Amino acid sequence: MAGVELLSDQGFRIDGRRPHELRKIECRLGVFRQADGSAYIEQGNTKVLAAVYGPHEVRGGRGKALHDKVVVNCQYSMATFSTGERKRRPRGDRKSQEMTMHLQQTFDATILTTLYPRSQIDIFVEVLQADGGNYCASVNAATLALIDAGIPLKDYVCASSAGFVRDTALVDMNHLEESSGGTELIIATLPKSQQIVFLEMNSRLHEDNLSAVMDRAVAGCTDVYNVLDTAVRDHVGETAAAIGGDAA
Amino acid sequence: MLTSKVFIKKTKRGSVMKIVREHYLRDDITCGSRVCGLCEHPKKQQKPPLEENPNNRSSLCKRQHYLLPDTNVVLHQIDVIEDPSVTNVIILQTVLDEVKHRSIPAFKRMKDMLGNPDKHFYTFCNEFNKDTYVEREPGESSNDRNDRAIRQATNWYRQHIRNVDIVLLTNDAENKTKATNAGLQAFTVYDYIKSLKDAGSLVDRLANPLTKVSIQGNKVLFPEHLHLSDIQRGIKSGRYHQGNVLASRENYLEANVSVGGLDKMVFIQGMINLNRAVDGDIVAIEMLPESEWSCPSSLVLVDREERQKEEDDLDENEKEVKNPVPEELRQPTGRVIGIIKRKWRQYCGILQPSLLKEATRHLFIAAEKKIPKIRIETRQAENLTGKRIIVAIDSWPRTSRYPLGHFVRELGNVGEKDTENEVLLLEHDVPHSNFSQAVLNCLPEMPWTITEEDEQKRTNLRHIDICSVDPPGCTDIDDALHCRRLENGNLEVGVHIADVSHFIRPNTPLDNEAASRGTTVYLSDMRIDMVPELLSSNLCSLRSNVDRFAFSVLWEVTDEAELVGKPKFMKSIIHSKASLTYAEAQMKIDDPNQHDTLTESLRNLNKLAKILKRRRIENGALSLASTEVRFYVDSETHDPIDVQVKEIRETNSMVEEFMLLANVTVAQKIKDEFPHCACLRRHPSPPPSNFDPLIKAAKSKGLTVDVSSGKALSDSLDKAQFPGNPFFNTMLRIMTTRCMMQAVYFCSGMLPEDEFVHYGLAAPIYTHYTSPIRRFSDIIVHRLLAASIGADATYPELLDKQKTQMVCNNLNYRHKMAQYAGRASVNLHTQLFFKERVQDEEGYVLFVRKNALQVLIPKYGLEGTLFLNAPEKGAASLFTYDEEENTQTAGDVVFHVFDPVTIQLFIDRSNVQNMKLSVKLVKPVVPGFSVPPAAYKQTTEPPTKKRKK
Amino acid sequence: MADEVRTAQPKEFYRKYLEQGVRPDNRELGEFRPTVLDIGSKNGSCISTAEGSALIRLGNTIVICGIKGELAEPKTETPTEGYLVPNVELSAVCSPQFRPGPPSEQAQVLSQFVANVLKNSQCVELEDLCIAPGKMVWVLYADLICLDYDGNVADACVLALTAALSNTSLPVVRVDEETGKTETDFKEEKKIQLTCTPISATSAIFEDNVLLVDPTRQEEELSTGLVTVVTDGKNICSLEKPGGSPLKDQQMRLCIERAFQRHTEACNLITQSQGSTLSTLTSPLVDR
Repeated sequence: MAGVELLSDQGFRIDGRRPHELRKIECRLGVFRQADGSAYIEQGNTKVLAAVYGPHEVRGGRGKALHDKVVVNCQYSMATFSTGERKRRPRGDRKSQEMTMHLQQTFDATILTTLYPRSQIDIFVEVLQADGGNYCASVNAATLALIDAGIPLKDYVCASSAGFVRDTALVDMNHLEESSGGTELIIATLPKSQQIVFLEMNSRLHEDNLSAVMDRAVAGCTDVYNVLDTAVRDHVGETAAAIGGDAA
Repeated sequence: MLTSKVFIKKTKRGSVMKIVREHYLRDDITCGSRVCGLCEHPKKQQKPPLEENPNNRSSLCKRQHYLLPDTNVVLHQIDVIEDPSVTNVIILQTVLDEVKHRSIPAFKRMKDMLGNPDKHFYTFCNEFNKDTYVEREPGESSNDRNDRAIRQATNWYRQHIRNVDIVLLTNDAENKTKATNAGLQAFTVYDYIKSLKDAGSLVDRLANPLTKVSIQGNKVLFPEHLHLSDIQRGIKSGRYHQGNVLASRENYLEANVSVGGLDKMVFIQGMINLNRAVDGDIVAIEMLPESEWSCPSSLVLVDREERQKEEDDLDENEKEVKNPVPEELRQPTGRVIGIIKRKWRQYCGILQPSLLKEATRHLFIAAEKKIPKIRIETRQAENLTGKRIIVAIDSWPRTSRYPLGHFVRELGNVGEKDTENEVLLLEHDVPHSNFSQAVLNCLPEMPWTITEEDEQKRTNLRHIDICSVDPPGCTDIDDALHCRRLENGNLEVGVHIADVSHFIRPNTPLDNEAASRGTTVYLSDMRIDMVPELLSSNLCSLRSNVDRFAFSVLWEVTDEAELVGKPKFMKSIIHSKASLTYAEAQMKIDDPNQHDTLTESLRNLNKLAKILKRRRIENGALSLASTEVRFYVDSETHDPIDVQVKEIRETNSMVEEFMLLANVTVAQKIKDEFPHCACLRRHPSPPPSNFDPLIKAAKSKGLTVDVSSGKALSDSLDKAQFPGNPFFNTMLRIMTTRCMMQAVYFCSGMLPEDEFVHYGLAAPIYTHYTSPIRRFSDIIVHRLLAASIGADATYPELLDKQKTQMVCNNLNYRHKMAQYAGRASVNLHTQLFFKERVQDEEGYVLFVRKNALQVLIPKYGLEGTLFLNAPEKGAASLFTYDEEENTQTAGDVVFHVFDPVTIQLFIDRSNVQNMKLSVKLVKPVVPGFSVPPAAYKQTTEPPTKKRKK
Repeated sequence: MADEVRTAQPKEFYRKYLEQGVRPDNRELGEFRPTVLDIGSKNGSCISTAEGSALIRLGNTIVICGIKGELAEPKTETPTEGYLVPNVELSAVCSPQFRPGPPSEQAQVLSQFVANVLKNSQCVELEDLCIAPGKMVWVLYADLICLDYDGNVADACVLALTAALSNTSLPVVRVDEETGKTETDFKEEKKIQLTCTPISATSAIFEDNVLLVDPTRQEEELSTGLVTVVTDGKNICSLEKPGGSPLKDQQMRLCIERAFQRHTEACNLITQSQGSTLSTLTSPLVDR
């Protein structure tokens, strides 16, 4: 109940968005040379980099290799300067470990893992600046990096979040909205098949409101998909032009 | 959807936390005007709020125009803005945000206006509009930036809407100049309102402009208030303290400040030391050196303030205590050095009669003595003399002895019952306006019928002989009862409660209104309903011989009142056979010739109730006396002509017993079903020290009262008898009541279970279930119970313990206020009754205080305070107070607690606003203090009116 | 064809190019790779949660630097000095050769190098970081993360750090003398004044005699030694040559000369760089 009014009577959120509007997304594929695939995404003030290495042979002992599918190895890390207060441990703390697990689970479910038995794919995510929706931006960046690396996926994985304030579902929560203590539902979907690969909800929410919040978050994922898809097509266009240019 | 927005980052810095927020600017924010052809107004809204033909009554701006006030205008002139004639106003987001930060009450009023379609107000979200957003420049204060934002928005409107002008209202000279230079139309509120063709009383409602103070002379009377940042620094360093001002009830020039962290209140005395703090304000204070400590004047020189020389301001200085205060009386004393937050509200009162007829500047005297006089300007002083009016404070400059305020509205003639009732309701914050159309729209359409669906969902109990028992004249019947013999020989008892939650659905305007009102308020001669009359007196009221929806609880019991099996809960349809009064029911029970089923049913109920009551008392439930009085009112004048203590019959107790049973049963049920969000009622056991006065009083008569437990207390009260004083036991019980804590509603998830107890009823758990027509708590309980038996669905707020607790907090507040209002109403009627009388009555000393005796007058259930002051100012009191023995002695007359006295009742008219019932001593005779019996004075009084009955 | 030679016989491949006085990426021996710098606009740094930040792209090497300020008590022996703590992270993102886990030896060596540069150049007066002597000072954490590793991370780190420090501003904090509590002025911000701008230039020694400035990862791998010279435009702040092939005096002079040249270039970059977001990451690359 404290102070801030997350949704005004006129239907605006604190940052001027309406309930159904995403933050501004900027993204780009292929930002790094060393990595097999990489991407950078800005969702509002949340800025995330992702790099993909592989598929390559399994590192750290052959025992880890799986005979029927690829090992998906993720690491989520936050730059020490990414948050308002300096983060002492960029990774390895519980929250990042959890995030790492969540990413791993999400992409295990999306990568066509059976195509690369006995090998490994690394997905490294670095959060440069955090302003809410860290998981969502990480998933979206990793999806782009995987596409950049040419790794076969079932579909894009697009993630978005939604909260519930004053009987209204708000999509793509920023940090202030997240930290107000209300409900937050995080969802990752395969937009084409409308399947949910990851879903997490914290805080209490009456079941009557669940579908409204779910619908909002899923709609958010679809909006994210449209942005990502455009970026991928632009990138492919650019690359093709560059190759074509060389040929000519 | 994203490309259309430019965005700028706003950075804010915390101590070393860097907070970064995004701020999106949009191009889809509409202007809200009907004359605009540029904006795409949202379709769902029928019409934008700002009209085609707005105000054009001003001589300053000849063209039609919309008004655009700045923050200070909204904050200080809200009474003007609220006037129905002020319409078509644009409220900027900047303004609304600032108002919200600076005054929550003003913000709420603003919100109400914005929600009222007749006002044609529109909120323009200028901060989110790409054309009106302005960024703070380096070195610019946030106020200047906001002023610039307001001018920017005004300019945007000016260019956006060509057919209608925009008038910026601002009292800030600099802002006005800048606006005028930028080609905008800007006026001060005063100039604008005065330029209106039919300004009328609006001019009076203008807040007192600071600039006019100078007329009074520029003498600075008060020390300056410290700046907020200095205050904060001082509080951090411990030099200053922050606290709430609680002005003395008798004298606004004395106050106590409750400071967090200090166990004693800090005393503040005198105009200069108070430094313009008004009751309720949050202030910063500084302690005075111990040598300057003082004490309330009432302790040194009693009754000093009562003899106010009303003439003028000057004598106030003299009132300040100058003679040194004896050391033993000194209290920690301080002075106000700054105001942290004003808690000014609107005050009821009257105009002080002015010597000059034509004067426009007047003093207002609030009904509450803790509020200083307020200087207002009005041209209608003549009309307002002898009227109750409402006034608001605007400011209190250093050069003015009194705060400056403005007239808000008139209530009616002083002393008239309607006016006084209105005052009473306002002072107790009882919402009493008519129900809005939105609320009335939620009511079912008449004629109301029971549908096939209803029949299927509900248990049909029409065939059972159910009746209701209530006080005479009751139209909101919440409860009905039955009792019948079952085939197995046991009895079935049913309590049927009006199914109000069937009609009041969650989150409707009706629900919100009822939740806000919280309770029906009963005054001596009127009732302020919680729900509209159609429900309270018709559809929900369980009247006889009509089908009504009820929520029933059925128990199977043996003749010894032992429960068999579990209670059953059901939504039902009943058909009450009779609406009886307590007296009628009693007559039926007592009449040996009546043997119809209804009478038998009542007899059984009565029999069971007695067993239940006995059992309850054995468990330690207290039966405490509280006398209720009833006025007999003249049918023509509506003035009370007689007053009597309400009679308690067996049937009262019978109905009460089953209501308690139902409440406890339901409390247990909803707590089991919803352990975290059940709405319950608890009555905390009082701390042992609360009982000290009781124990002391009993001891003076050689009796001991055991307060170790409720049961022990109840037993010792039962045993306590004193020969020769028939009211002794009642008086002890009244005293016991005073020792108790308040019973409160709470949400079960907020407290550990062992704090659920209801001390007075000796019940481990309790709630209110039986009066949903007049209490909102019962509606919540009904909803929970309905959900637990699957008869209704839950909704989010019902299961949210924080929200439930918030509802409970409001109910507790409303409940308390309703009680106070009820008592105040009784007092009012008592005064009206004794207006023409001086009467001698028998009484008993209830409490002995330092300078007074509290006397109980059993005949009227009244209490009076007999002040033992010296008859002449300055003279020594005749009485000596013995704290140890708890007695007052004058010569050879000694007053103990419980002593019989004869006193004379009359109305003290020394203060027009606060007439009060006063008492004088007749017997025992104390020379120089007591008065002769009233009979001797009869000739000077008008003859007593003939009494009805 | 060329690619295969490059992979199979890299030394031979390079030798062929260097005989012509150019490098395989068309650079002259003394030429740095194209350098792009994102510092941020006057409204805020490119990472707005940080007090100062910079992102540098040196060819394909990318390093980001973020400065965070915290309050702390000073050491008793230096009651008026704040702290400046640099740290270099070679994250797993930047190259397949780095693994997630504790900082590698190379990362620790780099951190120490950057710390030495700061200490030797004294570009930030530690006394400027003092709030109340003996009671409270600023600690500036300068965290450098390598995002893409294609050689010469040392030069990239020094440039990123200098650029980030040059746009770092701190809120004005005062300590109340009576209470010892801190008060922050929300409106005021103070920029950190740099006394000088240390810039480094690293050259790789190829076959004991050719000096390649700003080596790529492959050039580093082929080299027989590295020389790093740090200057502030007037003075040499640091000179490092950790072992490897011996150098003649004349070659050493060449390295120093190149370092001064680089200093001028880099300073221009810092003053010219503007742009509120990480545009380097979101805009298409010039050289790809």
